[in-house]
Parts: sequence; structure tokens; C-alpha cells
Amino acid sequence: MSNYLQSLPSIAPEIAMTVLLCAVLVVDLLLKGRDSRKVGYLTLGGLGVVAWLLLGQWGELGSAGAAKRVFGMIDIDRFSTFFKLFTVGSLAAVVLFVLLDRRERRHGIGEYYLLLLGAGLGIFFMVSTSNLLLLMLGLELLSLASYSLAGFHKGDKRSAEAAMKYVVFGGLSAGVMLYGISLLYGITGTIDLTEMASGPHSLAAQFSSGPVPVAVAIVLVLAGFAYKVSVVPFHFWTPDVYEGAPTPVTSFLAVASKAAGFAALLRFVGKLFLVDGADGAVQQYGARIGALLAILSALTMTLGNLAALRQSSMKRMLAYSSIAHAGYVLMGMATMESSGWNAAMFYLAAYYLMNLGAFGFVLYFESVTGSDDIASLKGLGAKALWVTVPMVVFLVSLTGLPPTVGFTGKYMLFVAGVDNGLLWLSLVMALNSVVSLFYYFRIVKALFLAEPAERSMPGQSALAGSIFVLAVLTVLFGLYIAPLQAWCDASVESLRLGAG
Amino acid sequence: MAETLFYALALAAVGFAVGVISARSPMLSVLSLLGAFVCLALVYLLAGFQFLAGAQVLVYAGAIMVLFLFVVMLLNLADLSKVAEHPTRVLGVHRVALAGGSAALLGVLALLASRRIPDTAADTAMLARGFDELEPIAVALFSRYLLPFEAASLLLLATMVAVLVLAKRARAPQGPREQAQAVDAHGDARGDASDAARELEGAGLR
Amino acid sequence: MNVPHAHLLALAAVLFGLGCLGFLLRRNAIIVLASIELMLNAANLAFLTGSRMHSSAAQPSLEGPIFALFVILIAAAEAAVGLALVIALYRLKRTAELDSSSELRG
Repeated sequence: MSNYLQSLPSIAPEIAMTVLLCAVLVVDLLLKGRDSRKVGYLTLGGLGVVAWLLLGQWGELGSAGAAKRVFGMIDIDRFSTFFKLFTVGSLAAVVLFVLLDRRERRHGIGEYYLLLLGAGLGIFFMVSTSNLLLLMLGLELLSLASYSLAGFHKGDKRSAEAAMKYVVFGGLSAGVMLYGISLLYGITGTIDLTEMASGPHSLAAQFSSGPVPVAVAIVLVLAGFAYKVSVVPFHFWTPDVYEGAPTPVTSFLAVASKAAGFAALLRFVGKLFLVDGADGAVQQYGARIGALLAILSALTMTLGNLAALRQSSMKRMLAYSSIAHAGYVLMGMATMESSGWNAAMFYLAAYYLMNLGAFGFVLYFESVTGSDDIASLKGLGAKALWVTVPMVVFLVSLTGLPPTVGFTGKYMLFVAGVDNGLLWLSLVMALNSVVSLFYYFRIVKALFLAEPAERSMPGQSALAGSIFVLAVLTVLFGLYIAPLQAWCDASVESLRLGAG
Repeated sequence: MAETLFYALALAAVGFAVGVISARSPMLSVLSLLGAFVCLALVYLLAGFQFLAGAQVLVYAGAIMVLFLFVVMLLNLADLSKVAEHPTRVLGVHRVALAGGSAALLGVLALLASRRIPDTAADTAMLARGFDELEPIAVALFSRYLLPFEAASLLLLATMVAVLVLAKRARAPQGPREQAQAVDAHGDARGDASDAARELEGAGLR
Repeated sequence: MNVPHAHLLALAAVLFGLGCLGFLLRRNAIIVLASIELMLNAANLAFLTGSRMHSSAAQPSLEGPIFALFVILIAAAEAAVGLALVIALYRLKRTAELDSSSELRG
């Protein structure tokens, strides 16, 4: 028990989040639901403390051998800290969006912040554990909070329906994933990924005796992850849920929730198939998983981009575009090499920035025009240059053109693909980027190339300011690649992947 | 003896499961689910898991089923059995996906059944005292699995809030987004039964 | 009881398959949620079977029962949220069919 007490400081960020969650609950009750903005400010402040703790942890982890496992199941390493930091960042952005959403109620929405924090805690558990039980609990914590957030405007049919769809498909994926985990447990006798890779009944030993049950179990678990990160063929819930959910929630689902799914997926695949000193059977199996991921990646980016072409609603378009981006990240994973994984991490970081910004823009214009239709943007480009110019930056970055972080990410993915024998996939990605140019450009066209509209733009300086900051970061990290790349390298390195 | 009982219970569980997915009314479906849960609890008992059998009965058959039944009774979903069903038009998942999914599932079934398991007999000493003695489980829950235990408490807290957010009646509309819907929601709530039935039929025919 | 583990796993697989089928075939939200419960139960049975397979008197494999316990909790939470949404949707539309009058098509 004493070693548990000693390892408490290692999970200080989680503890701080829990305390913050309880504080939000109590403060909201004390305020009797009046003036929920105070709760929002409290949440922001608390997230600042959590970020401070995480930054301290990141610094501590710099020295070699500092990475450790506490409570027998939480891995304190730079990989998890990297994702936790980005989660806190995106949570803060989402809380800001809620605070600045002119169409949101000012009172009685304290639960909004509590559920966001709950989802964030779920992500914290998900990204840092190699124990499937805790992984599942984190995933469910994230999912259950997200269901409720998606249906937060329950008086709105679209919101309620989106939540219902999300719950039903989420339940299915949880069932499928749990069944897969139960089979993995039956095969290996453990629920810890490290033991699964090296224990007495390790997966490696089982490959030779019976590869088929192992394959079924792995595919079922991967299906659960594929749902979370909306990879074809488990993507069909995405556009409906993204469109129906309140826009700040959509940005949370598209950014934090999806990246958390990727983090857990990276750790799952990494711990099982890319371990140090893996023998031939494991490597062979890893190569097959890589091939599977490559095919899924090609399908996902192609279907996502083609479907996005036909959308008239910005939120739906961004939903399909986020499906396509999941395909790009998956491509980095599919190389099953640390260079590709670095690229995938880098792209995820880029994805955080540009998608948060794009959804911030949607929020801004929704409150002005009352809809997220691309047509309603017509001629508004020159009216609010502080927001529309950043949006152009985000769109350029989403397409993957210089000088933005999206370009650097795509370039790294392309090179990683070419280097690791996935030339065809790199070409598919390049073609897809060209396709995506068409629909991203439609927004630019509506904004700037139409007759200027009569409509006046009410100032929302705070929201515009946060969008502007995100755009600056998008360009900054596109020009100065080194720091972000170093962070990604350090994170992937801390997973201790084998030479492969 | 126990073996025969197991196969009988397994058969009953499958029968109830078929009932769950083929029942015309939600009420029958939920009652079949209850049957399946009880059969499974007995299977757990036979297999040497007394504690889990108890938990299954208490939580599943007790709490979750009550929740299901409560909602079914509250909403008077029996009316829905009158609405014609379109079995293949589900949730935008089309026939192809359906056939593919079923085929894949049957494949999984065949695989599992054919999987050779080296040691079919469970440890007899373990069988006698059960696989889930309370004491080791309790010790494990509060030592090795302390963190998941705490995570579970957070999960329940978040769920509680989530359910309250979703299920409590919307207050007076304040946001413009809600105002549009408010007429719908509140006007409907006082509609008489025949109105509701008509709406249901309309929904089913669409 | 001395039943081969393969038979327990087969029962789990059949229940899982039926749950999946129910999910795909039915439109009523309550029945769909019930199908998901069936799938979670199948996972539980597989967990317990796994525990049987890996337990010995010297070293019981407790992960199975413990995971099953948490799965029950997860199932309860999912059911609660799902049913709360059924109520919310029913208030709006007076129907529990998932597919009827979907505003989110296309």
C-alpha cells in the first residue's frame, strides 16, 4: 500500500482533474444553476493548473529512466503526457467556445463543464494505461459523457437524435470491443498489454498454435477503436452526430475524442506488435496488421473526401473531412515504423490546431447567420477579416499546403510512406489532398468570391481572438517544425517501440 | 447431472435471446432478456462463479431490468407493436452490411466452436471452491485494481449527471435553438392518446 | 460442472451473434438496447470462461470475474443513458423507432 501512496504524485494531474470535477459539481449546486459562466471560468482556471502539473511532469520525464508504471497499470511516459497536454488544451478551447457561444444559455448549464471534465478524465485514463480494464473504463467514461454532451440541447430534435445514434452505435462498439477483449483474455490469461506480449501464454506463443482466434480477437478490438476514431467501415455515425451536436461539443468530439482513440490505438498496437526484441512470428503478425491498417487508411481517406464533396453544411463537411484525416493518421500508423508513428503523432497535433480553429469559425458564423450552411457565408469574407483570414489559414492547412502545420504533417506522412514501402498509399494520399482542395475551396469561394453581403457582423472579439491565436499557431508550427517534431519524437520514443 | 443442466440452461438462454430480438413488442423483448439473464446467472453458478451469479441477478436482473421495464411502462411502447416493421431498413445500414455482418458472425461462431482448447477440464480443486471467492476478489479490487475501482466511481458520477441532463424536462426555452422546438415538445406533451397513436402510425409509414 | 470450455465459448458466441443480429435487424430503440445488453452478457460469459481456463489452485485468475463485474457496471451505465435518451426523444416525437422521421438523413 505504501508504494501506492508514493506513486500518488505521479497521477497528480488526474487527481487535480477529479478535484476540479467535484468542485465544478459543488459550485454549480451552490450557485443553484444561476450564472453558469462562473463555473466555466472555474473550469478554465482548473484546467490551467492541470496543464501546469502536466508540463512539470513532461520536464521531469526528460531524464532517462524517469518513465515508470504506477498502480501496476498507468504508464507515466511522454507519450501519455503529450496527449494529456493536448487534451487539456482542447478542453480549454471547448470551454471557451461554450462560454463565447452567444446562442448558448447563460444559466443552468453547469453540467456542460462537468461532463466535459468527465470526458477529459476518461481520455487521461485511456491514453496512459496498458491495462485493458482501465482502458475500457476510460473509454466508457469518455463515451458516456460524450453521449450526453451530444444531446445537450435535448429540446432540439437534431441534437437528441444525434445523441441517440451515438449511444446506440457506441453501445455496439463497446460490446464488440469487450467481446474481443474477453477473447484476448481467454487466449492469453491476462488483461495487461505488456504481459500479453511477453507473458507465459503470450500472443506470440499463440500465433503459432492457433492464429485464427487471435486474429478474430484482435480484429474485434480494432473495430472498437475504429468506431472511436471513425475509420471506414465504422464511420457512418460521424456526420449525423457531428451535425446534430452543439458546435463546441462537435469540436470536442472531432478533436479530443478522436485523438484519444488514436492514442489508445497506438499504444495497443505498439505494445502488442512493436515490442523490443519481438520474435519473427510477432513481426510477421505486426506486418499483417500494418497491411490491414494501410487498406483501411486508403478506404477511409478516399470515402471521407468523396463524401465531403457533396455536403452543403459546414459541420457535415468537416465531419467527412475529419474522417479523411483519420485515414491520413492511420497511414502513418500503417508503416509500423517509428518514423511513420512520429509522422502520425505530428499530424494528430496539427489536426488538433486546425480543426479546433475550423470549428471555432463554424461557431462564430453560426451565431451570426443562424445556420452552418456554406451558402449562408456568401459575401461575408470582407466583413470580418479577423476571422475569415484565419479560416483560410485553417483550410490551407487542412488541405495540406505550405506554409502551415498541415503541410509539414502531410509531408512527413508522405515521406514515411515512401520510405516504408507504402508508395501506393502515399500517392493515394496526395490524390486525396487534391480532391479535398475542391471542397475546402468552396468555403473560401463563398466567403470572398461572392457579392458582398449587406449583413453587418456583430463583434465577438473574444471568440475571434481565440480563433486568431489558433491560426497563428497553425502557421508558426508550420514554419518552425523543430519543437513540435522533437515533442513527437520524444513521445513515440517513450513507447519503447522495437527497431521493427 | 450438472452437465445436462448446463446444456438445458444454454438452450434456454439461446431461446430467450432469440425472443429478445424477435419479440414484436418491447415488453416481451425485455421480459425475454430477463429470462436470458437468469439463465446465464444459473450458468455462472454451475461454472463455479457464485459471486458473479449473485451480481448478475442483483444488478442485471434487478436494477437494469427494472430500468428497462420502467421505461417501457412509462412510454406505453406496447402501442408500437402495431407499427409495421421494416427489418432491413435499419439505421441506414443496408442489406449488404446486414448480410456481410451476419456472415462474418457465423464465421466467428464456427471458428470459436472449432478452436481446439488444450485443457478442457477445469482444475477440480478450483471447481469445488469456486473461481470467484469473495475474499481474493475484494483484496484485488482494493489493491491491484484500486485505480479501475476509482475510475468506475467517476464513471457512475458522470453517468448520473449525464442521465439527469438528458432525462429532466427542458426548462422554459431560452436559447433561440430551443424556441423553435418548444412548441413541439410542450404542445405534444398534452396531446390526447388518439393524437399520439396517429403520430406513431405516421412515423412508421414514412 | 465439467463442460468443455469450447462449449461455454460457443454459447457466448451464439449470444453475441444474436445480439448483433438484433441490433442490425430491429428499429425499436428499447429492443436495440436490449440486444446490446445481450452482447455485453456474451462478453461476460467469455470472461468467466477465460478465468476458468487460466485458474489453478495456486494461482486463480481473478481478472476474469473482476472484468465481468466492471462490464456489468458499464452495461448499467450504458442502459441508463440510452433509456434516458429514449425518454427525451419520446417527449419530442412520441416514438421509440430509431429510424422514423430522421432529420439527420443524407
